Amino acid sequence: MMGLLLGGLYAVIGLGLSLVFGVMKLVNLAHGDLAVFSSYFAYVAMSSLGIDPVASLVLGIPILFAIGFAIQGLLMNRVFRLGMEPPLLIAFGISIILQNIYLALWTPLSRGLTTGYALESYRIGEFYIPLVYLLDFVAALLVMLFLREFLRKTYLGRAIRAASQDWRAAQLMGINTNRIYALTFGISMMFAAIAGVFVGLTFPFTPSSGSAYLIIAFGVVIIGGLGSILGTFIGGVVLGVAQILSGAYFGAGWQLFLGYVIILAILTARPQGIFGRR
Amino acid sequence: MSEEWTLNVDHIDVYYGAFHALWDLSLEVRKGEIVSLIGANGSGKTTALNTIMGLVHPTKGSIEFSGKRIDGLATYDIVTLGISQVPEGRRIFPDLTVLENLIIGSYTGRARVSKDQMLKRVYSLFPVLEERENQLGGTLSGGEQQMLAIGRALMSNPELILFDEISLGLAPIIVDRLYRTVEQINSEGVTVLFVEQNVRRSLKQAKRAYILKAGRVVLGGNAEDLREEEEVKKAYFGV
Amino acid sequence: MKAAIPRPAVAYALLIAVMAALVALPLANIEIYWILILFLFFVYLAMTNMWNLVAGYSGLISLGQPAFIGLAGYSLGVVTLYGLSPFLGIVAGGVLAAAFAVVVSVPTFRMKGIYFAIGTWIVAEALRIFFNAWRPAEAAAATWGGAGISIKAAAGISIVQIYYLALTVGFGSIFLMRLILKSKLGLELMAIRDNEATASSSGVDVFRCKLYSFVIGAFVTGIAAGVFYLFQGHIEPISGFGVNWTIILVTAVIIGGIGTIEGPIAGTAIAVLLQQLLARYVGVSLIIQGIILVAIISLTPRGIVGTIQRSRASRSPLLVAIRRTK
Repeated sequence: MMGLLLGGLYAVIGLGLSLVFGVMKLVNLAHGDLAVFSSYFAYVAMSSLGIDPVASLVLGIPILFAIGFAIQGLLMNRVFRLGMEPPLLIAFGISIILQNIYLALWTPLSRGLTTGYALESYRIGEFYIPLVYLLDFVAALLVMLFLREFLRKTYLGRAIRAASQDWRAAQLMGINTNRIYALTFGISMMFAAIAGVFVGLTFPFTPSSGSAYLIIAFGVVIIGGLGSILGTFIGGVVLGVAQILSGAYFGAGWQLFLGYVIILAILTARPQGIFGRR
Repeated sequence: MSEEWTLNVDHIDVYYGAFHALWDLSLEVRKGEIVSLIGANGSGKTTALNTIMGLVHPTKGSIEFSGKRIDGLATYDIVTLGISQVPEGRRIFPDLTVLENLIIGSYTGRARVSKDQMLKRVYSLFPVLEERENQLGGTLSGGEQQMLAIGRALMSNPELILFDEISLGLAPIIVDRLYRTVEQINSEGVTVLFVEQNVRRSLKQAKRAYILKAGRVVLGGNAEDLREEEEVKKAYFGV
Repeated sequence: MKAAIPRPAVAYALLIAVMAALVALPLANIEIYWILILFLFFVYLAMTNMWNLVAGYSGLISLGQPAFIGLAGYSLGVVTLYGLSPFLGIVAGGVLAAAFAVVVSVPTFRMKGIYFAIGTWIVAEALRIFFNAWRPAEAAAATWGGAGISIKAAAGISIVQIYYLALTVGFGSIFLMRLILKSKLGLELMAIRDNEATASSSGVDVFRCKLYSFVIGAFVTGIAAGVFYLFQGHIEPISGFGVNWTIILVTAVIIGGIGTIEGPIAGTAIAVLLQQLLARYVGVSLIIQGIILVAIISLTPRGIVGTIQRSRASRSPLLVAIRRTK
């Protein structure tokens, strides 16, 4: 049950990555670290200004959107037609920069967004469900719904889908594909921002948490397949459940291990994921 | 725009990397005309269209549309100015529905306002598209995809449409219908520049034509005059 | 070009001079500090050369090198735990790393491009978690109760000995690179790097070539790791399997120039230099390396050496001599 709720959160983490990967075929290795940016941002807002983390998203989302827009617009757009490696390595570089900035500013000590409600739990039948997990899940559903409607009903959303299917044809429609890509990255970062805050509410985080969340995000995308929001959700749930199960059976240290094994297995056998189309 | 305009391609050179694709090429299209580019495979017809659309840029010469230079512009800006292309291979969006494909055609500002109007027009030209409105583009037959591609190009409410080899891979009966529609589109006020493998059809549909060979214009003039020319007779027999 | 002096000879003479100087270094009265820096440089160099082999020449962007590094380090720990020679431990580390490479290649080689990169990363991370939980009873004497083990033999080895070990491994890796690149395998690898499909249809056994380079890369990386941990004296999962190794290797090779012989040398030098200069400011050297990495890829994807090579064309005889190995 907890795995299900956790899965929602993981799905949000994966959503941003999936968007960028699906549209631009670009793996943003810094995705996790950018989400953690939002965690630290909320942390600062909370510890210095007493602002609730979710409220800090009001600023956090636009800031991260701008960062994402800049990354794609200034850096990635230059190189991503050169092949898959350059963007990968740029993202890697950004990841390094971010992780070490966090290290320098906030030390390896783990931080958490501990608000009052973060510690509450509800009792449902036999289970104790932490309130945060419920919040995570609700947030996840809202985010996924928003994305679905956006992609289906708006011109921009359609333009993004068109650009991901055939960028040349998209240009013939009058779509400025470079700008659309930058926008997509920005939107992806908006999801990362949301993920970062909710992750920070649920778990403690350190400068290197980004890596773990990246792998989770990647796992979500791989398991669920590209281009499918539902698939991403399922992927999140699978990983969430795997984590809870391995934590229960093998001990706390092994939590992510089973998840990693599952991801590797799927990568080997069916790289396009369960629901993938590509 | 209802005033007269011309598309002026003026002595352009185009390279694909090191390959010299177009040599000192000039052509002209006036508002309301149907003009065609004729030539064997590799003669540069598609390259010419792509250059006009800004997918490739000329290294020399200029392209002007209604007095405005467009040869350095990005494709999406050129579309905004009123030129649309039905690309070779159709290139419809496979994972968008027919309706979505058409709607995305009216992405540009100038087209969005008249979206519903244009949609009605497209549906009246191609009723089958309305039937298949909610089907994914990738599931359509070749002929239907071609219609979708043409409809999509119309959705941007263009002054000029470039048609690139719309007959490829289609049965003659379907091609006939397509070209009748092209005529109708032209009669409704849209200027047409098209590239067509089939020389006979080319000269039948067009009012004026240019003959390309190895990236150069070797002949240009009225379609009926051209039919008599040696070069064209050679082209008929696929030399 | 004048042929007064045979060009390769100049290169060799220089090489021998440099080697001699480096060997003689400990005999001069220099601070241990410089010996240590050079030690670090040559250990890293072996690893960066291998990453260059695997990623630059074979097209396998591996982000999982820490798997080999950690495994080798732990082998060293285990071997010395039983009182055996540390040199045996180092070799055992290389062998274990190579064996693991063979095993891991089965699933990972099925992953294309980017998936391979992430797949290898996950493998390294999985190992890290595994070793975090591994607390062997026999090793209890050697552990601090945590997940790391100390390397008993470390106390018995002098700095100078380690230094010479590193020199051997480092220079060995350079010669190995030259050897490979001039061999049939090298030509095949370069063909694969340029265009895998064409290479394959020309009769190159792509899988086997990639396997060889991947395994050789793992072996040498393992050996270098053994030397490193012999010096360090202890190993923990976060150190052995940590992403920091990947960061150093990738930034060094890219900045220096991936797919070139001199690239790793230049890149590693810069990496070590930065690390030492900024040692006081935690992580800043890495921030700078990250920035340079991003800048280089955006502006000059061929790295420093690659760009110099391109701009100077065939004018430098020294570079020509060295470049003849490409």
